[in-house]
Amino acid sequence: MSPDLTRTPIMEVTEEKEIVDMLKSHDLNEVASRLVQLREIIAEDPDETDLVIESMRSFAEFILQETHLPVPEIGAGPEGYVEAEWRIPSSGGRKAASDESYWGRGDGILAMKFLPTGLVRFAATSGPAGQGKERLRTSGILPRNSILPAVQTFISRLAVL
Amino acid sequence: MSEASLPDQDHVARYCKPSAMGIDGLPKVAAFELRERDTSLSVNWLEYFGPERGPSIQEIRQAIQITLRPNGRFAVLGVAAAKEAIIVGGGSSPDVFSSPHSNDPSHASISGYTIDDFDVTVELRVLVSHQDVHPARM
Repeated sequence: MSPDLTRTPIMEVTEEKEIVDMLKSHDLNEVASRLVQLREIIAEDPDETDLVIESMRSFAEFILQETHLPVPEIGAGPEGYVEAEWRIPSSGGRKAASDESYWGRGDGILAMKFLPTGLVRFAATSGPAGQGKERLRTSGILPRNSILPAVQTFISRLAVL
Repeated sequence: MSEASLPDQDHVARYCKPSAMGIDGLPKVAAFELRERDTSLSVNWLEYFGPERGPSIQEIRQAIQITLRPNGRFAVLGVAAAKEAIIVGGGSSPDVFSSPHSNDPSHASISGYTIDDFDVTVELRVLVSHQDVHPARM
């Protein structure tokens, strides 16, 4: 009998397939699909580094906790750590009256790299704004459960999509 | 040809592996990350082959010394913009310089950041829009 993945703590999961199945069991099918696609692309290229299971697990735990976020682009750094990134739109934000001029002309990026330790390296920036114009930026390394408050300005921008 | 800084108005193309391309057709941040053993990012100098972008990309397809995958792409960056991105992202002493290989005279390098400078990779990525992305294979 297969385990009930909706009840299994993610940190007990040891196989990539189990992580994918767990995401699916929580209706995160698009996230699971993108992770599978990434694994397949990596497997086809001998120059690519395999995904690190602890990093995958950390990413999955984050996504399972933050299901309100839009589905991110999912990539892998050269060391095999999972990276999630969201495009930050340059216009149409809720806070248009107060901070619109800082969001630049093109899309910005919010990116997170899930380290095997459970920490997350993150960086976010608004889009290119032209010579001499100020932009919004933040970065750092934090525990997984402390990330969202640190990037709230950027997350709130995603919410208007 | 010796190593020399490229003119600010010139451009370089970064090969982005299929795993580093997003669903939206733009590179992911990973396309600009360094490996632990790297001290610079490997790119190709477009203007080495002339001023026209299309023909230069085609020359780079022939010259580049790595296996180009069908779903890989080239992302073009301006030299001045790349150096600015490194400074903004917290790197130091940015440079974009010619570093020719024996069979690839257009090979160039972007230096001024390390594997730990995630901010820089995000800043470099933000420079790329759809008009800067070209198929790696025709």
